[in-house]
Amino acid sequence: MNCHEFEELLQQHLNDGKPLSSFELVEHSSQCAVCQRQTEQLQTLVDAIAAWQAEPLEVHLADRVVNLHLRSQSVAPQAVAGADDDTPHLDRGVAFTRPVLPAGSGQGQLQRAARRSRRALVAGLASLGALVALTAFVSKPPGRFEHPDTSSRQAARARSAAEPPHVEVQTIVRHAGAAYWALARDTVGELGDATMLLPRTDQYHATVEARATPTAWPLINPFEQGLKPLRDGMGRAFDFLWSSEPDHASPPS
Amino acid sequence: MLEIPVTDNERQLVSHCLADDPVALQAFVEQFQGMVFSLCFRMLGHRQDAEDVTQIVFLRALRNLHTWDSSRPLKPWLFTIAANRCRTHLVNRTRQPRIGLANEPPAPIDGAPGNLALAEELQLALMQLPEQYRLCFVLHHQQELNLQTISEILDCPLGTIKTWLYRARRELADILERRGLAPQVNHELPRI
Repeated sequence: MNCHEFEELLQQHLNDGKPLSSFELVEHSSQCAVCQRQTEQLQTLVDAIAAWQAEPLEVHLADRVVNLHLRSQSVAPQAVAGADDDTPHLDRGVAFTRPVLPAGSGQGQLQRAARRSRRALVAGLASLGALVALTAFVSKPPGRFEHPDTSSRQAARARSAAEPPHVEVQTIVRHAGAAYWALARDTVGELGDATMLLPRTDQYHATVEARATPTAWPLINPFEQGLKPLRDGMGRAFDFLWSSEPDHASPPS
Repeated sequence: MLEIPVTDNERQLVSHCLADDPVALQAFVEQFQGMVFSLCFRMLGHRQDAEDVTQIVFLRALRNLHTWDSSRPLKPWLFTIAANRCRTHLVNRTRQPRIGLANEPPAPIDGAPGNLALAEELQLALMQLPEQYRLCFVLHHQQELNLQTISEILDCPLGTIKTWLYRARRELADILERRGLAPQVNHELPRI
């Protein structure tokens, strides 16, 4: 007898109760330590199975089960409750169908009314959402969907906020006027009595402020009224200079 | 192991139960409640769970008694329902969080254990087995069903049942040995 046959004999004995031949087993187990150890392990298991007693049921189950069963039979007929998955020998030819309530019954009408109201509510909510989304897409409020500010945009925005555009224009005009004034003064100094041709400073500032003020803009045209004498005087002065000094190739910067 | 015959008593009992005779229903439950509860308790390892599942098994059995094939024995039919309900309960149990103390393995046994301790050790070891091994082992060694009946109950080939039983025994023997339940003395080998 080899180990395989030994084990097969043991399993047959445990499975089917086949009697053991003690002589063969003793002979093999005396030669094979592995099989002897295995036999001892199985012997412990067999002893434990022998000590294994059936657990007594401590509750009185029968009355409870019978009451529950009779109550359920009175509620649901036997033919309806036949589709359990874990019950063997079931007739599975009958497909499960949802029970249909009769059309005229009050319960059916209530169910249909509830279903209709649920559908109307869902449709209303969906159309409201679609309307809101469409409005938001079409109107697209300014600044709402702008790209995020980059560093150059932020710098330009900060600069324009600190210094409005009309102030910048005012500064440029003022500087130009000052340059013209200085040039004219030098020229008039050369010319002698020509100061009457130049505008007065307060008049110049008044024109600039009037230009910077939007409300005064339609009433005053400062360039036409205020600076025209200056331009005329400057033109005459330059004509005089160019004519008296023919060496000048270009006007002074 | 037992070959289960179909007795006329069973047929009569079932026919009375189908007529909703309360006495017959009570007799039906009382006749089989011990073995069903025992199987559920060995499978679930928890008394209250086993009682609940036993009740569900009988309710289902009584509700579907008209589907029982009267040419086949009643006991395996009941065991099939019980095994399926136990499996369902075990699946539900794994999905639900367990509230309570962590399952710490008990200390190994010193000295020779008594019969009660040996049975408890076997039950603890059984709970460590896979579900199908456990079911096979309990049906064979406690309910004393033969392998052919077990293969019909579990709807598995006979070879699969033999394999599961062999592995169950090997694993249980290993667990019992690790728990210090080695044979006390050298047995005479044929005692198995």
